[in-house]
Amino acid sequence: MPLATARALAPTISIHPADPEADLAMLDRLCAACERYTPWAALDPHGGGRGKGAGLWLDITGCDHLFGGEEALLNDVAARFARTGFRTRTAIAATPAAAWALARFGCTDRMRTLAGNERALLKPFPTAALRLDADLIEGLDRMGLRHIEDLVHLPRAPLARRFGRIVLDRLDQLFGDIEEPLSPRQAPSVHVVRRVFAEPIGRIEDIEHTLAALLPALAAGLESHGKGVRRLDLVLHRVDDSHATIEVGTSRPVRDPTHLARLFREKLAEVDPGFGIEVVVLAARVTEPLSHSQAALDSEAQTARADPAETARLVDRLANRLGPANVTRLAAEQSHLPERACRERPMMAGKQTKQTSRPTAWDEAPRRSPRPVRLLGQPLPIKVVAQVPDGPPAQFSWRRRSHRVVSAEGPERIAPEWWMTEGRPLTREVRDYYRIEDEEGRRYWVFREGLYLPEKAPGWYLHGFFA
Amino acid sequence: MTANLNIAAGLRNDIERIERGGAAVAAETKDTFISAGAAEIDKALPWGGLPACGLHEIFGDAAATGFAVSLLAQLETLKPGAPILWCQTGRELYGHGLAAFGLDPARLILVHGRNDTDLLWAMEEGLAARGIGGVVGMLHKVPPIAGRRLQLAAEERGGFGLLLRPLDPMAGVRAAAELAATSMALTRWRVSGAPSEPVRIGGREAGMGPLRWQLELQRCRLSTHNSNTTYTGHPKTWQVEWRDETGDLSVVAALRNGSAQPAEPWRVAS
Repeated sequence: MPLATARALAPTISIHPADPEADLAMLDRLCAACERYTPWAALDPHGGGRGKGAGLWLDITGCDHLFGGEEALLNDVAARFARTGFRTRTAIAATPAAAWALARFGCTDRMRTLAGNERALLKPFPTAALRLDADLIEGLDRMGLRHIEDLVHLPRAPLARRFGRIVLDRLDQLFGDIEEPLSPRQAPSVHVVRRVFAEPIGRIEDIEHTLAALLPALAAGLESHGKGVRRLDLVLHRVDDSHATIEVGTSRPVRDPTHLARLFREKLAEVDPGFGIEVVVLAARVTEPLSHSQAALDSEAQTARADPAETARLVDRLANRLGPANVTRLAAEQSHLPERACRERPMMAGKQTKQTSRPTAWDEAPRRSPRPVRLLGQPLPIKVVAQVPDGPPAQFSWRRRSHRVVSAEGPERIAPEWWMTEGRPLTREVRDYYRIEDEEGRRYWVFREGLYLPEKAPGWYLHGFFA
Repeated sequence: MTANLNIAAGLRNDIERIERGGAAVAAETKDTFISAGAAEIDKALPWGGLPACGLHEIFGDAAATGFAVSLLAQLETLKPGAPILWCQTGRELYGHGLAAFGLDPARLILVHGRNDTDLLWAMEEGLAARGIGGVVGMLHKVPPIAGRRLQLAAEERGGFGLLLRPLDPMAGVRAAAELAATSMALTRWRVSGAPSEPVRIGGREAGMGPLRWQLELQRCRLSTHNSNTTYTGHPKTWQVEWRDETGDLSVVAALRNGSAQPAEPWRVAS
């Protein structure tokens, strides 16, 4: 119906443009809230791709008894969603396809199949319940095939030839003759511990206590598998079905509860418990092998020596508060261009072994000529008085102050890396670097990009400061 | 009366011990000092060197960075292989330049904070952590309480802390105010570049000479086992030259307003 018609019929309607992204985000939040029922919750954003309304799939195999049976679970879902203002149509069936069909075409809001009665229950359903494209359904309709029972008795081969394999596949999925995998919203973790509270908790201290109880349990599980955690999520499910996730990362596999508790403590202060927290889930998202190691027999003797584990713990704390990109180390690279020769790499690399290029020792790095202690990320353009064509600067102005050059050394010519194909080349012109000293004894590293040409003067740049 | 005085003295000692338990012990052992770079400068310091457990403050620009790096390189002999935490907001530190002062850039852990609060927090964490060789922070402002916390953390764990204080030439007044402000650091230096002597071969200039700095020791605070006294004197100034071969400094000339006067002993501030 066009908007104008709608307005003519009901002048008071309020109009909102469609926002599929927000819809998807909302569905994702609902799906996350449903992870209280099962770790295997999947999104169905397009209603099986047929525009039949978005939905959620929960694989409740082995979970329903925790909520008092299937019937009770359905009631709980409906009640919870109703509290937040959603009307739900739910169904429990042996296959995802059957549940999909029942939820959308069932006669009541809460459908449940019993073992063995699926075929009988689903047979009178329209062909639209098969999650088929609209034109396929129309084609079937034209043949007089309006219900699932019409299809079941037809010979399979001609059906497949006429309408494609998809119709048969959907039928088989419906009755469980072939498997239909569901992709969960989040990969279920093997190492999960959770605690459910009879009374919701709201104080940060209570969350900390819970964490202190959960972490050793998680550590025990990790230890039995010989694993350490690299990424750990703490998910707090609130009473109003929203949830908060606190994520911590570590630079090396860890399972020390005190260290992990300390990483969380920094972030717990920012958590809003809302009306209270009902369920606390601690899930190890990324794990890596971690073998046992001998702690020092004499802890006092260790204080003076460098302790890599202690350093790693410090890096974890820093990176979790300041962000992984803000805790870095310097790495020398094989390049003539100064800004490429020294790079900062995050200490919390995704994989510890990953190396894009062979690390270069600092000794191998250019010792031919001095390098500044501070290098500007972006060379600053400066105004320079210099002898043409290749004299060092005699005077330059920077930050609106003029500096007279007392002595200079150079040029050191650095050519562009024309063989570099990845990314955009940093420079297309040769650079002539000069080390210059002003009358106050400050030393600068400046360069001239390009050569003096009759039609165009080259640019001068300040690139670094010597000590 | 004497008994009362004795009790008071005993209590004062107790407080002293509690306040700076680790430092007093550490300060007594000889090997926790590093050289400031040249024997002449070490001699002028009341400890005969720079204490490696404590906080030091260096004002200045790139030259201050160079001086700081040369001090950190000396830590290597005290704490071999221990990483160094370097906290600052910018990302301008250049590894190859640091390597020239004898510091292995691979030992650095760079920490970038959004503001001074983050940096101060990171520095304190670093000073409190075991196995960290030294902590450097490049900060424009250090509130007195934060400075004291850093100094206590450094003394408690025997950590070496450096505060690098960049001087903004545009804000001369503010810089002067900062310089006048008291701080908890054990020493305060001001380092600036000095014109170098060009290398001459046969009377002709044949290139730039070695780096020269003007080192100014502005203040130092001596804390011993049973007294905590601020020693002041005339700020001492040296002009030093960096020697690449030996990796230390040599004093080139004593300046008129500083140590050209006969080496004056530090005296107790009133």
